[in-house]
Amino acid sequence: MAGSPPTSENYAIRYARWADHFIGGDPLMMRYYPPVSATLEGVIVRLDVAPRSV
Amino acid sequence: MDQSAQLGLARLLATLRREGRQQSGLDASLVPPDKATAYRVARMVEEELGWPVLGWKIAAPKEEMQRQLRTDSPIYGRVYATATPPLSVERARQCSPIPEVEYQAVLGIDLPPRERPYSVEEVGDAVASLHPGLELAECRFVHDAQFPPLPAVLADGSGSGTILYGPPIEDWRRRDIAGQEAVLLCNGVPRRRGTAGAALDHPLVPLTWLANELSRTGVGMKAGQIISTGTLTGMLAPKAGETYTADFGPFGGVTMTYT
Repeated sequence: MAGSPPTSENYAIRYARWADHFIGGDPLMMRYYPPVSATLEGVIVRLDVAPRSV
Repeated sequence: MDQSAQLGLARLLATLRREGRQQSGLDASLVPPDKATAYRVARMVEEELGWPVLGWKIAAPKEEMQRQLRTDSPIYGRVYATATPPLSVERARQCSPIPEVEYQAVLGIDLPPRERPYSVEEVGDAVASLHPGLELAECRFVHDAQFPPLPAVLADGSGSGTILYGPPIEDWRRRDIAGQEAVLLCNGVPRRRGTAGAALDHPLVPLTWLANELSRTGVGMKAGQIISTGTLTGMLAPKAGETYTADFGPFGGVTMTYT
C-alpha cells in the first residue's frame, strides 16, 4: 500500500497515516503555531473521525 | 465574537497583508473563539482584499502537536500569490518567512460544494498537473511572546504567503510520488530531507481532505487553483543572502533567494 496512490478502499487508513506523520516536533513549527489559549479547551485529537465513507 | 468584531479582525488582517507588514499580538476581543469562526473571518479577509484566491495551503501537525494546539484536524488557508522560479525576494519585506518543500497540485476542473463527499479517485482525476515547489509561508503576527492563539493564525490564512512552483512532473500518476526523496538546500548545502510517504502519505490524501472540507463548508475549489499539500521536510528560518532550493531529484525542483 505504502507509496501507491490512495484509493477509496484505503483512504481512511491513509488519512490517519497522514495526520500521524506530519512534521511534529520541529521547534520552529512550535513557534509558528504555538499552543492555543484555553479558548479551545476541550477540543481533543480525534483521529478516529477520519472520513470513512469517502 | 459578534459580527462587528469579526469584521474588525478581517479588516485588520487584510490591511496587514495588503501592506506586507506584521503586528505584535492581537487584542483578546479580536481572537476568534473557535476554528469555525476563524475560517469565517478568513473568508471575510478574502472579501476585504478583493483579490482572487489563486490557491490553498494545507498543514497538519502530528497527533502530539494537535493535542498541544487543541486542534483535531489539519488546517488550511487561502493563497493569494504564486510565482515561478527563479524568484528573489527581499527578506526584510517578508513577514516571518518560512520556505517549505511541498508538492503542489493544479486543478483542471472545479470541485464545487456538494452533498456527496469527493472520492480520492475523483480528486485525483481533477488534478491537471503536479509540481515540485516551495511554499513560502508568512505570518501577519510577529513571532514573539504576544503571539496570538491558533484561531488568529487560521483567520490569517494559516500563515499563507506565496506558492513557488516548478515545471509539472511528467506523467505524475505513474511516478513514485510518495517515495521520491525531496531535499531542502540552503546555499547549496542539504539541510532537510523527506518524502511524501513519510510526511503525508501521498499528496492526494491531504488534497482529498481539503476538497471535502471546502465542499462541506460551502466554499469549494476552482479550476486553475494550485494547492500546496504540506511540507515534506520541516522548516528553516531564512536569513538575507540565503538561497533555498527544493530538489525533488528526477521530478525537478525550484530555487529562490532571500536578498
